[in-house]
Amino acid sequence: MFDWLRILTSKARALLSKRHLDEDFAEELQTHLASLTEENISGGMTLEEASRAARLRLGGLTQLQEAHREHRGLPMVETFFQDIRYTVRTLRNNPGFTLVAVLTLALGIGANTAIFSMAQGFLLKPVSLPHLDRLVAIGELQAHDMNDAIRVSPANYLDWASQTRSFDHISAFYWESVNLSGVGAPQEAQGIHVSTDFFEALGVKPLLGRTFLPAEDQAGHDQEVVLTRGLWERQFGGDPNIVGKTVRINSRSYMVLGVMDQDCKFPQTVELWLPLALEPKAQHNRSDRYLQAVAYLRPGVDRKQAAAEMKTIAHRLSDLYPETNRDWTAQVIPLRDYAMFRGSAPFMFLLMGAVGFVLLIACANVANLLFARATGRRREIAIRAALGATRWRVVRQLLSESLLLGLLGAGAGLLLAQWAIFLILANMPPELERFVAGWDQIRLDGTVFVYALAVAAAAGILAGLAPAFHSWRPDLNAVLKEGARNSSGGRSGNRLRNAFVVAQVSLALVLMVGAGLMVGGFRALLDTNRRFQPESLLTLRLILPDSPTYKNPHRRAAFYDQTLKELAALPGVRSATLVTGFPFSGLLNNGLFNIEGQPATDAGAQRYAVIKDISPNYFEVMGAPLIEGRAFSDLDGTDSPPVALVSGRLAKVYWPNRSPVGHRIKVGAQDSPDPWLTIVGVADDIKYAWPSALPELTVYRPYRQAPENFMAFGLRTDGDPATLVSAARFAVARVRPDQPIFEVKTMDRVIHDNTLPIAYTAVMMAVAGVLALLLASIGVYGVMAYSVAERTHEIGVRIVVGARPAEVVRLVLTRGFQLMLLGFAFGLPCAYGLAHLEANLLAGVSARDFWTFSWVSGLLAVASLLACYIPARRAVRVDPILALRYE
Amino acid sequence: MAASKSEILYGTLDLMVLRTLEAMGPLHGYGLARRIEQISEDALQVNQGTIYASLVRLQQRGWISAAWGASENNRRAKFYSITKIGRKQLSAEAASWEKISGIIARVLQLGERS
Repeated sequence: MFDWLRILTSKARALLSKRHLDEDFAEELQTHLASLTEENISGGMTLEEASRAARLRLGGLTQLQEAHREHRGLPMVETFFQDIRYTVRTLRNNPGFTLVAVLTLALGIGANTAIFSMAQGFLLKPVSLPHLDRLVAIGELQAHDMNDAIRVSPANYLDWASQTRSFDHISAFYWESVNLSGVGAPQEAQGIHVSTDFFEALGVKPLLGRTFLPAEDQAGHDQEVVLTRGLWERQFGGDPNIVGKTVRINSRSYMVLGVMDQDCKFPQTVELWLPLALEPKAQHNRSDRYLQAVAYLRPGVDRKQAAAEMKTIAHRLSDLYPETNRDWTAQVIPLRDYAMFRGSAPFMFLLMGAVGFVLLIACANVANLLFARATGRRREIAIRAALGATRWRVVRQLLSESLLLGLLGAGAGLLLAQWAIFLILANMPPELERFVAGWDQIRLDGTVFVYALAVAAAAGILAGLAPAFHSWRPDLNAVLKEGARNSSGGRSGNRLRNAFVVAQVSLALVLMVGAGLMVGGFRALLDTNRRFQPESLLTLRLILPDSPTYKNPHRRAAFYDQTLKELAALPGVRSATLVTGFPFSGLLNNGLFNIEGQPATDAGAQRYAVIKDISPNYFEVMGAPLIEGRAFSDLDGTDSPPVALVSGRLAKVYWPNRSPVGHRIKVGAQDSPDPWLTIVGVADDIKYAWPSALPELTVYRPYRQAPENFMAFGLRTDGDPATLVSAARFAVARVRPDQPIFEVKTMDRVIHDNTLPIAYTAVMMAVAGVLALLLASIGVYGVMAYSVAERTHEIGVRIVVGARPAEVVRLVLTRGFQLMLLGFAFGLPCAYGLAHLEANLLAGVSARDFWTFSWVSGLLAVASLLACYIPARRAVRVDPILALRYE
Repeated sequence: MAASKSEILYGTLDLMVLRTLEAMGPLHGYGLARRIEQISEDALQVNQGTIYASLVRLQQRGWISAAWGASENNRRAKFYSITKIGRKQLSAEAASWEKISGIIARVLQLGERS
């Protein structure tokens, strides 16, 4: 039954103790021979006759030994090891070649490995939950909805939970920033209210204590909290007796039930969990879709089936409750997609592509090296072939050489990758880490290791394939007769090498243009932010509590009035402003708006804009001039007619060639009770986020007329803003003593933190671009140097018959120039395509960036011509006598 | 032993070795070869060395085991003996052995008699 297994292990074991077994068998045969000889002697033969007869009876010793070895071991494996041994020897004998090839491959493999481990963290394992594959997020979705928000209203969620058969657990949650006090300074903490089976749905168990019990979602029994390990360690010093203790959340007492483990970081930024207690009124609320839902797929049900069932349920609900549910359906998306750091996928693919290019260029370099060597070794190969090596055997020998190079490259590459990952991780500010899903998953693990090996094997084969097959020439006589010196790779060899040069130049061009555009785009992005004078602007955020007092908009407006006054009065503060979210702060405040007299034709044509509520001096502080009309003033208060400002681009889009001033818009649906706002002016465009190329369409409202419960304040300071941090804290505390503030940082810092993914991408693209330039130049140099060496004789003849050095240089350069031009011809269109792709990714990148295209092309041209020129110079110095004697 | 020889011959020799070891107890290569030659009455025209290929195969399957010991003439020799698995294999396939005609049947009978 397990015979084959037993045989295999026995054979494998035999491989390991080869010499011992050989000696063993030799001794056994000697004994046998001696016994036979004795038998013969006793049969009456002389010693000589006896031993000869014995040998005949036994059979040839060498053949027996050989057959024994073959039976005993695994001949395939043994030849493989022979190949490897031979390869190791040849590589050791050419340390220069080996070092260059291994380093080249290590750069390519290391870059790929590092980027892959990042991609794995971001895209494959954004959260580490035990059954991520079985977890989904469910949300209501309006037909034609362009946002893929996962939202559901409480009543619809309850109906889902009672009707669905596809899920074992279906759990709802919503966010609440809470004020945690009683331990140290009051602190803002990210809380979520979860239905009681939330942790069962995720399949996670607490580190300490317990999670919520089914009855604990009743209002009145919900004063309990589960902490994340991070918060527990940070705020409570990792107190082992925390369970059962009381903390104050939003001025109420909560009992700590348990602490979750590090791994449970869903949703990403959560710090504590509270029970979701739906009041009777909320339980019948179908119109406010503020809950989010996660669910665990029942075993045997796949996501498609679950999605179909959810659609059926949603359809039934929309029939039953047309008022609130018409046109609403439900979608089921993998939790992995939901948890992914938004927008990271295209950047990861861009980087994966970039390092893939680097690897291809590296492979072409190594292939070139192998080519040159294989050509030099043609006599050796011909001799081996003449001695009976099959074509397969020779090709395998050469391939095993490039494979071994690949593996060595992988070894060095993994070290490089480890170092790169260290650099990548070390530069991320710790306060940001927790916002980036998957960041803590970036490391060299088993999967990455296997990936590196696979890349190395692919690179080895890719680099070795053409040289290996090419080096086999069936015409042995010709090769052996040819002088060892003059044996060029032949015409097809030259063609292949030239193809490598062309490919390298075009790949490098594409990559360098991509990198140049990315870096340029990032710099442009930073430049556009210069006008904010971000280094002298201190920003802070706060969220008003959901208390009866602050449910009243007048009270909120009054709070903001007073806070603004306190902040502006601080010594060292030139002016204070407020806005619902500063540029690049991560708060976009996207919302629906409508224009009076221009109703949206259907749901798909809904108009969305960034909605910002601001104080009158906002544009002044931000350095954005007013284009038309008037700014807000302190007179735009609660009781005056509601007004709005629009951004230049919004005006251009909806009132082309006309003035929007005097027209009326509404923030919210056309038929909502929200007031119509009269446009009083147009403000210069401000870019609020990086993902799109054009500035966002923006609507501004005076904060007194639309006081949200969250706000960001900005202080324009005379000196260093950092000195004002505690003064600002006290100023807010004077207005409301237990009001927490958070994200107190300079605008500079805000921009830095929120453009970090771009900075990372730009830096990594730049690194890839530099590597590409370097490797491609080396590649061009290698090929040109080789071709000059090959033509030494010809060049010698030319010099003897009177060619001037300049002519010889031109001869070599022309050849290189032709190849380079061909490379540009292939590379430029591809680069243009990549530029288009990047332009869609990042504001500030233009596909028609003539400047970037030209300087990158120029740089590459100079580098590759230099790579041609050095061999050309060498050609000129050829001593004609020596060159002719070369034969 | 050339690879072109039929599987039957490999198998036959293997079975002969197994059966001989079962009947005779531990034997070294020379003894085995002699024994098989005797009982096959030189019907098998092969080199004695051929036996070693068979011994390797049987060892790999774990049907026989080997240990160094001293021969009758006080020479260091490797002795082969049938293992438990080997015996089981032997008895399990006894029925099919019966079907193998001619030489094997004779070898088995001769082996038992001697």
